[in-house]
Amino acid sequence: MIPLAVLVGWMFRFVLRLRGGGSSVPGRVALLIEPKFLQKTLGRMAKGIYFVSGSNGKSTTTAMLVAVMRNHGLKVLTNPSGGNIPQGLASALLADVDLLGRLKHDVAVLEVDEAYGKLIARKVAPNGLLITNLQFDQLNRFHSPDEVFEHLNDLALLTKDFLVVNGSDSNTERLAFNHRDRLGSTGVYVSKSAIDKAAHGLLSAPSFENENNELPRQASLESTNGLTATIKVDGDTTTVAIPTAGLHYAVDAALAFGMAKRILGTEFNLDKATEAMSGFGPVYGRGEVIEYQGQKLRIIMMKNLPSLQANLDALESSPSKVWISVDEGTPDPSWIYDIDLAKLSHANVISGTKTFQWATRLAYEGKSFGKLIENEEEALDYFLALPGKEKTAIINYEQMMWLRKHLGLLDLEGGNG
Amino acid sequence: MVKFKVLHLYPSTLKLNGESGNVLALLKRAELLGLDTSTSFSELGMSLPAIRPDLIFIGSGVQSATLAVAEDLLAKAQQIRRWVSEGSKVLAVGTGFDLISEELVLLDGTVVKGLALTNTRHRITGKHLVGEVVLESDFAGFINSDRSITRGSDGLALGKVKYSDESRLIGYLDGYSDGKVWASNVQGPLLPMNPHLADKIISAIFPKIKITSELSELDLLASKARNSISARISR
Repeated sequence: MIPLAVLVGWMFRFVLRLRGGGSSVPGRVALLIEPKFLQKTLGRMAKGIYFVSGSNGKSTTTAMLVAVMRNHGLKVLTNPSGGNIPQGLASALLADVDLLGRLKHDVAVLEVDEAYGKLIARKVAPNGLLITNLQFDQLNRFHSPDEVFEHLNDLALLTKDFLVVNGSDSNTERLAFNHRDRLGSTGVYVSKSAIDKAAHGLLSAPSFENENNELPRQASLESTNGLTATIKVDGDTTTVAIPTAGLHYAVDAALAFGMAKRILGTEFNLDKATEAMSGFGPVYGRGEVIEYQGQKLRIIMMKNLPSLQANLDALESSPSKVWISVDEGTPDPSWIYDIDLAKLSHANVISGTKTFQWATRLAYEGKSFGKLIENEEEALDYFLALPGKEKTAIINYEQMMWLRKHLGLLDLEGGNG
Repeated sequence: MVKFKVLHLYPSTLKLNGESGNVLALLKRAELLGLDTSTSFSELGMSLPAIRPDLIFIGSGVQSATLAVAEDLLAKAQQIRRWVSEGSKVLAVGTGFDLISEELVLLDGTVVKGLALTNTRHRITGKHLVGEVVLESDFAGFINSDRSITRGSDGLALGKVKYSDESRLIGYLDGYSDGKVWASNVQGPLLPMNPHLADKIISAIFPKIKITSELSELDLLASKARNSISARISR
């Protein structure tokens, strides 16, 4: 059934791409025709399958890990973050398979959703798993980080060979410690000085366990300074470029280096890894700067409290022109009251269905919120017409996807280049 | 100048859904109404402040945090109950409501004793009801809760859900209110989204205070935020 699944999947993909943007529909169709589509395509990967999961940093870490692996001469298959659930992954694979479902890649490095990751792992178990962190995220969906911990734990149980985690996140460290006998868990640690330098540290979910769960060190982030991070792997230190300033991006780089070392073993070359990072730009909407009509529009993703706080902490000063836009992709933005807004002096315009919740927040903080225009298209027109060439958009994922489409940026996220 | 003293219990431990927004709303509104304000806090293992607060606020946390607080509260329960009997008011949201109830029964049947400041008994069902809500009492916000609540004979609920995008939430009886203690599972956060409750609490503490037009901008924004929710879910 693979040829039929591929053929029909391709047809759906072709038609939907003409409309612009990505879709999980082709993958859903392929999985309906061939329920073992993932096994029959990914299962043939000669050098293994590796998953990256966690609350935040999955997309950036996956992209960095892929860049490092490719610079070691490997043909690496990867997926866009929108393709981190089974049907989305199947959609992404349709871009690369031939009619018989064969892939030309040596190894797969896949970002997987915290909850759906185990569904993918039940079809194709990963050889190795990297967990970036456990933070407050999508409480309307997960209710509590405790539930995400259980999902990630299930994913670890399905992992075949090894587990690498952020060791400075006490929840992921504890999770990995519990699997140390079977998976030889290792940790990527962040120096205390690097953590202390960020106004709100690593922003991990709270942990009330006081036991010592220290793991063998796979790598460590020694320090970060502007657009560089100093990383230590096996006693050797390197300073690498990071796409955007911020502790979280530096941690992502250290996690990618640690995971690459674990996958490649003695073949890992620190110079090649460092070189891979030199041309590494922001990942799709994460600190990305979109150039449009002579203006530079910097995107700050309002995904959840830890990611927004980390992005605000990384700002050198308050942006002069700010547009905030949040829609029903963030059903309950109550958490914006736990955000320290010291780095945000004002907004020029607020839009989206959560316009008045954000405006109320800024009003209680005594900050001006500018124009309130619920319709995002009208708000964007107003924002672009404001004087100035450098502007900042604080928007949620759904608004980021809308913005890209609206501005005619029809390239899909991620992909295999 | 009259001082409004707020005690925020466990602000770092119980911090799940913008809980600090409730304290911010109370303080900011009190200041705009001409009151002087002060805030104290108490975390796990810390003692309570020496001076009786006018209002005690307790927020919401993950289960492990809530259980850690329940244990810590054992040492503080007597003092808090004494303050309430002497006139301190209490506001609790989310799992803070569990902690001031008579008891919380966990999924495994373990009973966690609360401060018994409400006549409610709470049980974790493991089945979350999640959605935007509008209550009959002109409250609006978001509920994300897996608690079933058994009430004492006199009811004293804060409100009943009239509209929601989660059909199982319609008719849900939320919270508690007896003029001294207020509790709710509505987020938004509760008070910035529903400032009339903040004013009710401030008025209960300072009966002579007049709610003035100084608050009109905040109230208008909150009212529009509630209207947005209402427009979405009452279609």
